[in-house]
Amino acid sequence: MERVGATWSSGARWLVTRPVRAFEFLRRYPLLPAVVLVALVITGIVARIVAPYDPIIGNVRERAVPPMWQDEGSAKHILGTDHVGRDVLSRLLYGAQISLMVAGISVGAGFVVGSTLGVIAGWFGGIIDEIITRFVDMWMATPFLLVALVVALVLGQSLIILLTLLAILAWVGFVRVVRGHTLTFKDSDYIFLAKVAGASTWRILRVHVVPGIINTAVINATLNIGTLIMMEATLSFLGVGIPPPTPSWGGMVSDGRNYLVDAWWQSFFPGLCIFLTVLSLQFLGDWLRDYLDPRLRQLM
Amino acid sequence: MQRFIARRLVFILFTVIGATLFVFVLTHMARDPRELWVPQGGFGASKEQWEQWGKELGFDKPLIVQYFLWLGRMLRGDLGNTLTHDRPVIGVIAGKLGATAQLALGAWLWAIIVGVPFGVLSAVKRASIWDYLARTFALFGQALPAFWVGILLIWIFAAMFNLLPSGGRPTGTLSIKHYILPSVALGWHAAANLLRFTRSGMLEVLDSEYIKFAKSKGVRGWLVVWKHGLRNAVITPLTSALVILAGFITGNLVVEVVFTWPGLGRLLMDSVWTNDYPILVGCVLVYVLLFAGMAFIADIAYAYIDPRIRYQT
Repeated sequence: MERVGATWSSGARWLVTRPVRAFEFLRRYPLLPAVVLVALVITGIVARIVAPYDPIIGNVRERAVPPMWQDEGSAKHILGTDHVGRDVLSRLLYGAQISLMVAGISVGAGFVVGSTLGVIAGWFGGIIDEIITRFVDMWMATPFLLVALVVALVLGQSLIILLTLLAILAWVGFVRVVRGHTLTFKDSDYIFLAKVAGASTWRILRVHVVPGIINTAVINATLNIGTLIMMEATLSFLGVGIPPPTPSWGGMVSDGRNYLVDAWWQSFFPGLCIFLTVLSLQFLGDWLRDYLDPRLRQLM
Repeated sequence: MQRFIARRLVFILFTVIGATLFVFVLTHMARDPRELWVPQGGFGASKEQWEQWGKELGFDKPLIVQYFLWLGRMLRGDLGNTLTHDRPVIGVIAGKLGATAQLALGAWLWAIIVGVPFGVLSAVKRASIWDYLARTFALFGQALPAFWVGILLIWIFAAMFNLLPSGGRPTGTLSIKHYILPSVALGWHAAANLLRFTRSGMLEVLDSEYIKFAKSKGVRGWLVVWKHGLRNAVITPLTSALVILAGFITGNLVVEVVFTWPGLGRLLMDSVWTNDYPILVGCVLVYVLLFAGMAFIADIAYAYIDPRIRYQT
């Protein structure tokens, strides 16, 4: 905390007015994003308990009820209902659950696979490095959305396939940063001394390399979850993501598209959820990067 | 440098083969394309006819042979015929590419017009209200889903105030009105990235010795910024702009769906549902070529503009 405090006071000369100061404080410490994300995780976990209605079965006699603060709205449905009478709030809560689960699992898988390959490529170099790096480059030059569409078409729409797709989207980023970081360690004195002292390759990797790259990988994971949530939402929006009737934010935006004029809330709130979640993750990732690894600090 | 170019060309070749092979195999593992013509089980076609079609499409040969046959025809400029309308794939794709490229250009212009000047402004007037506005704009651009932005824009500007059309692309006349909303939805994310790039590049340059020197010898404020500063700071954003343009062409599927834009992305979506594999493989080919080609040009341009950069490998 000492370091953060120091930059705070040196940056303080920029701050003239109080509102800016408050804004700067919120920007420097990820209080709001943390609150949003914690709330999201909790609602995701307890969706079954707090959701007022069933997210899948609606009441057809209560179609397109507006949110409660509008004239025709009622307190029964806080954020209104959709075109088949399902409670929007309940669907949002369950949507949070599935969005977070999908993003979390795929980023976890990407983390493990990508970091491992990154360390291997960086450490051993040579032909192994060449193969892994070239493969990553090739994958990055391939239009992911197109591949995802074709895969979803061929193998059918299911959660497992979606998870796999997102995991293979996630891992390349890890390979890149972790490999780069491993390379900078490789020639350092303490690794050399460890070799002189007779440590085995496995021990050097485990004790000296992995702890060094773990921060980088964690930062990358935080910055990546947002991208994955966005991609999942996009795929669901296009109808190849989370299979309906399971509620997903992207799918909800898509469902409400045709009822925009009469029932804007149906598309508006799920989109807002995606936006706030990704924004919070962005803030948190940036903050984490500055906090854990000042060398990566950007001027932004 | 020549070595670098050669390596990149080989890399592009491998990427093209890898991506097309992947999609080719996948689409052939999907349901039988012949089912597109007749209902399932083959009602309406005799067994001989069914076999005959299979022979015409080359299904009697092993998959890998089929792929190499496709590759051979592709090198001669023949991507086969579409299954749904039996027209040459090249013609169909070329017909849609124009609409997509126009939209990409619109989004590109909006991204550059907003991203670069506001990036400069935000760096020069650091920690001012302009800086915060610009950064908020950038943060929003990175967190807003393009499809939602598109829907909101339609809702606000087309449905509520009836100012702009809600989608579609008029044929014949060029109407700017139709381009505004899709361009904004498509380009916001890139505008945000450009803004960030420009801002951080500019901050770095403004902090350098030669800018301080220019200032101390009495060069006027904005002249320092535009002439001495921007020229050096703009290298990275400008070269990335090429890749951004390629990204718009290959990545505007969602926006085309939202705005019912008759481009490549919609063609692709339609082909996915009908499993019109000649179109799918053709699209992948075009996408990968465009994307890798633009990235290649950007790399070369980068080395040319900035002599400090020379590629080792």
